[in-house]
Amino acid sequence: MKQLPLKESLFLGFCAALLIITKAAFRWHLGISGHAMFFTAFFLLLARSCVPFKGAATITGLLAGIAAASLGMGKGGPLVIGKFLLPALGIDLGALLFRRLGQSYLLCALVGALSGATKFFGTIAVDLLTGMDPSIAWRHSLFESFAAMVFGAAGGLCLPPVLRRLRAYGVVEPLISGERA
Amino acid sequence: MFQLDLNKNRPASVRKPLLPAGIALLLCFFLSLAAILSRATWVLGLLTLINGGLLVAQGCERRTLVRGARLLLMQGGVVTGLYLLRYGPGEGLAPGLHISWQLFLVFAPGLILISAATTTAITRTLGRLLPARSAFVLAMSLKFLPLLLAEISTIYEAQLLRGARILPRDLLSLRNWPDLLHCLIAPAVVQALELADNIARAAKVREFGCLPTRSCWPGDEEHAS
Repeated sequence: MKQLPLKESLFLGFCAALLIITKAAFRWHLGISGHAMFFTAFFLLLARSCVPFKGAATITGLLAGIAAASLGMGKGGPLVIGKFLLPALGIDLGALLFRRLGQSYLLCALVGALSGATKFFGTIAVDLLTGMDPSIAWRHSLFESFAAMVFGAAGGLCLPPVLRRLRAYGVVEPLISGERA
Repeated sequence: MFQLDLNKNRPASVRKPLLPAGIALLLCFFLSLAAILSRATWVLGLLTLINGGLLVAQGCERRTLVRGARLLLMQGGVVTGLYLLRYGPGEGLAPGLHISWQLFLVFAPGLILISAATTTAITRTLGRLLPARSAFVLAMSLKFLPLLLAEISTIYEAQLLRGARILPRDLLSLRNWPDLLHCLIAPAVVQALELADNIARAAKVREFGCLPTRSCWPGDEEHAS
């Protein structure tokens, strides 16, 4: 696999930093589960769309997770890495499946929702490992992931107008195609 | 609006944490893992005592206690509520509270240990754990984030002067969100790309990447020690 250029690595780092900083700054205390997925989906999709590299979202998610864990953000210490990594894997998977991601509102919302749905795996893994009743664990995880899917889709919907503008400026390649890895 | 200091929650008067950042990270991981895997009530009791001891030893701020209490109430409320709905008050209350306690102990070490350590200490520790290039990218992203936020703040002010409807009260209406995306987010991304390009060029002229290992000057903390 060819190494990602330093400029693009740094851009992914900035996406990761902006992701955690917006999550911290715009913590809404709504009491609604999963609303942080709005920013997660948006910034991960942005990173994946601006950097034509197959693992771009995963790298961003990993960097955001490590930064969040190291800054003591979130609630799970090192476990917080999974909160960023799983949605990032969902977005990289979505970008592999849909070549025209970034041009279509529907696809962006779909991939955003897919990234939100990955919250199910993290939640159910922790619930089952702690010995929670499986039926309760399923309901709890579904409840958590449904809200995350809604907010993830909303975050995805914000991407196409930004990408259109970036393409007009000539700073982003026209499509997610011709990837380096 | 965007002036944000990562260390604003850590005033200088806060007592230095007892444990070094690396040990805190490791201990945090193992305590969380122990809470996940434990089933017996006495183990949870023991973990609670350890967490309580660490809370005192690390000299955590009141803010950390408030966050912990909020986490306990919210997470415990949802989980216990689901147990009560499924099994009724008679059979559901005790297991619901037990699981809520266990989940809290999964998250508590992160709140106590990591929030007490300084950002610099943890970044330096990560530099020892991560590959040199990843550590550089992460450190540079965090280092230059305040600069990027200042640039974004300038763009925000300029766009407000141009009449963009991006004030917080304007954003309560979804009709104004396109303004936010076009006038602030897109230029902010361009700014981030430009800053990344500048840093990459600066690193390149200093022969960054010629050696596989870290080749920069050690930094102030290592000098101090």
